[in-house]
Amino acid sequence: MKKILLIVLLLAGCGVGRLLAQVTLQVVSKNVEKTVPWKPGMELIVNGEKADVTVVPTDSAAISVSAELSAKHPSLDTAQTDVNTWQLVVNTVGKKVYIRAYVGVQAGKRAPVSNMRAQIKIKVPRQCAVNLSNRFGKARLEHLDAPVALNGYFCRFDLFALNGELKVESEHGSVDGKELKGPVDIKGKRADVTLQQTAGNCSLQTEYGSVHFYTDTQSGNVRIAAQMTDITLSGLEANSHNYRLKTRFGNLDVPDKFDKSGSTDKARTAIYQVKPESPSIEVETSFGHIKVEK
Amino acid sequence: MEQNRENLQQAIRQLPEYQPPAGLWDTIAGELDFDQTLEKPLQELPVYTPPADLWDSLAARIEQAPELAPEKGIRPAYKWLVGLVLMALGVWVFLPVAPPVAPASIPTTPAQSAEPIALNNQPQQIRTTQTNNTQKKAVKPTSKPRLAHRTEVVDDALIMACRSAEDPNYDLVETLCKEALPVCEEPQFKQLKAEFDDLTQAHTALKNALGQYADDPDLVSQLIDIEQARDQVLQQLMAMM
Repeated sequence: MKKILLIVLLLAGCGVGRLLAQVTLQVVSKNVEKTVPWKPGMELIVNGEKADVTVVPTDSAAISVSAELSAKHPSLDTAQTDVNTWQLVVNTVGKKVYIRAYVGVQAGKRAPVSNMRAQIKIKVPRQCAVNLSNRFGKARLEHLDAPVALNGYFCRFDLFALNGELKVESEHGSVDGKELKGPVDIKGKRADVTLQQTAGNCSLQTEYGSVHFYTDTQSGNVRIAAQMTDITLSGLEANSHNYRLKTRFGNLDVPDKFDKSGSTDKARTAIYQVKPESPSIEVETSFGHIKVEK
Repeated sequence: MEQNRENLQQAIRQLPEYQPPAGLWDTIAGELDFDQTLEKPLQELPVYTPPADLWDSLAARIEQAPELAPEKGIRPAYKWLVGLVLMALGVWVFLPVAPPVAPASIPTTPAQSAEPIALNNQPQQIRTTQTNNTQKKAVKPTSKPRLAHRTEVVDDALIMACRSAEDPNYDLVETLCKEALPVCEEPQFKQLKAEFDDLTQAHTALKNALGQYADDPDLVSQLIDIEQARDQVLQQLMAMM
């Protein structure tokens, strides 16, 4: 009996506490701004963690960085101590400009216990190639003409009006691209990929997740090799592409005008050809569904 | 016994001595430029994540060590006392964490009138504003690092989502496969198990990144997605067993 009462009291205590639970965080942040000169041919390399990075163009011949580095903790003292572990390094080595935001802990000192977050806004000349890697954050890049290479782990990529070659490797982070004019190469793992208004050739390799590709008359050749990925192709009526689709252990949802005569029990195929010289959309997936819509 | 020791020592004593130029070490240090030399290798350093089952194996080893095992049994007279302490602890754990009173060295001032102070000026004064889950900047960016302060109230649901206990069935697969079940050697099982481990690793990394106070709804949402995916894989594994 006593044991039961004891448990009831404990649960009641936890329950009351839980109902009232709410955490107010003290957010201490520091703002850092740095600018380095840029010359044609120089490349920007960004390395971030727990960072929300925005890269936008500038007309000036310089790369400028504006960062808000913050620490969040219920204790103001702790947050204030931890925010000072944030380091933002900007330096130029040869033809490369490095921007690195990291939490640096000196030997013998405790690691930060606050939630750390960096918001970094970078202005670069349009012709500056960008190589960016980030973990546990976001990255938005827009209006750049030079090649862009991205690598993310739990990083959501939002890409708009990129005119150069684009390479993306993303794990656990969605990739949304719009108005991508150059060739696109995306490798995604557990990453949902959505592409609209692409003008160059696109190559996608994905595992687990989904792909939504909007084609139009400007779209080039599209190659999608996927596993455990559902693929949706939109814009059938707006383009003149040839289609060659195949899924193993998955379903095909295509208009009647597609030729599905080559399907077997394990592999379903659909072919639709407008003109031999038209750009093509080739999709192959396994354990995933393919859908073609207007 | 070393042979011809005397001859050797005499020969060493006769060796000519040279003094390096006075600025030699400064020149070498200047040429090395450690920061630039190390920058590229630092960028290329691999990132390693500890194995997903590291903590489980540590916990198992602690349990096997009798000197580390918790004492069993509580004297009846202390049961009620322990109960009360636990109850108080339960209330304390889940009660809202009130903003601590600002220490004397960090006076809080109204946002409109306060000027942010450069980081290198100690003691620091920090500008305070209050927001409710907003990311509004409290200071104008300048060329010097400055401190700003605001408060955020974290949605209870986000924290609770991150503090949910692990499904005990997660360990069950490991335990059963240690008994060398034939199914554990099947290719399909191995593939699922690899996927499961991959998800577990990602789950751990994400949970660490979220920290104690899950303030990023996007990442919390991904954490839940991973848990759901892991559950599905686990169900498939269990079905095969």
